[in-house]
Amino acid sequence: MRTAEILTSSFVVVGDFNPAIISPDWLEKNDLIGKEDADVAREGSQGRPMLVSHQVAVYETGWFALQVLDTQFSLTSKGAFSPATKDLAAGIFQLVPHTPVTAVGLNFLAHFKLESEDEYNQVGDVLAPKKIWDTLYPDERTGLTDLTIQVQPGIRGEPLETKSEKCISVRPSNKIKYGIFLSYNDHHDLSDEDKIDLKPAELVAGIIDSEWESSWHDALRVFDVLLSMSLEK
Amino acid sequence: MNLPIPTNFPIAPGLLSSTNPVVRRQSEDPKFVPVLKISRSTLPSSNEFLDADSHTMNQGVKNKFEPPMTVDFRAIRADSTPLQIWEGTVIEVDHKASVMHVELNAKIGQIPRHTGEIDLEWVTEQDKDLVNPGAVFYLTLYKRTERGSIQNSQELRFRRRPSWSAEQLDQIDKDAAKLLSKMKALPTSV
Repeated sequence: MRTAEILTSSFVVVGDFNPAIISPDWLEKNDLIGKEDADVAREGSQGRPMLVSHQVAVYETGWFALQVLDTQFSLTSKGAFSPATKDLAAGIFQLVPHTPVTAVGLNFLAHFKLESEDEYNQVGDVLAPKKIWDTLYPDERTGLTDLTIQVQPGIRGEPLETKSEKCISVRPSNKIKYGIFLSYNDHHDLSDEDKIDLKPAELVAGIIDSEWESSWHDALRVFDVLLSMSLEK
Repeated sequence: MNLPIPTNFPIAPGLLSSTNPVVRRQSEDPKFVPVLKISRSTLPSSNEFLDADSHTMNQGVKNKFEPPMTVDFRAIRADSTPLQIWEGTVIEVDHKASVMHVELNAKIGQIPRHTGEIDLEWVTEQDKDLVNPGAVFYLTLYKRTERGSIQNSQELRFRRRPSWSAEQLDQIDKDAAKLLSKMKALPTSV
């Protein structure tokens, strides 16, 4: 299996939040992070101070960055990729079970290095053939900058069974020369869930707990197959 | 047009787009029209969630009296990839030898479970209290590329989860009782 040069994971939850609650002090008090991490978050890093207010909470430690707005929560891994971010995300929602949330996305982002410019162009040409574009612009260069494929359960033409879906995107990497950036969004719409006994944020914690690892492995499988098949001679 | 709610990228404060259904819902009341703090017309489309490049990628013509940006749209530095991740469980702690005996379960590839010893010096000060039999940790072996040099390193982080609340325990009891009520005794063979 191909190994990415850079791999990160993030959790994006849509709902109505109170950013002021989710401070480093609160995470530390509830044992979700240790004192050293809380100190790093409080002190700020790379010249960027912590900000916690009623409208927004933004801070980071050595292994995660957190941003909470009134309508969106996002937690992104930094440094070494670890399932610890999954535990942190699930732990936060376990502690605020009554928070109204409507959707959760499990995201995986990867930068892959390709051997040459030819390989780099081959991926773009296989995924987005240039026949039409070369006809439209015969004397100019055309290239893929952004491609997103939506994957929904069921058969095309039939009514959708669920609003949950996966979105896989391909772009040129802005970090690696002749690199490809791939992202995988596993979107769970909570209106699909029939576990009415659970509170919305408990549902989110449950989804993060039970689905994150399989999403991670599926993302790696998708990235590998996508690149391998694109680069077949 | 019914747009899906995005869960694949964070919204930058001040960059709330009118195409976002959550924002649109708010903007129905003219009192709560979101204020744009940066002169940008689209949500970030750069390939780093919070990439510094995205500041400039979609900038249009600047307003003369642009309000100050209150929150910096932060770039999250990511420069490593995992080579292997183990989920470990502490079996025993030997404080004299300063090691913990652990069981390791590899998360990448098909590698059988195995046991081993890990020096306690790899445990950060903040996690020292968590080193007890039964505790779960993650050991990541990763590769970092920085300014042309490649480093292999490892990080050990103990699992932290909130304890069960009385409400949650109550719910578990209810669920267990419900499950039990649906169970039937196996017929006894003569």
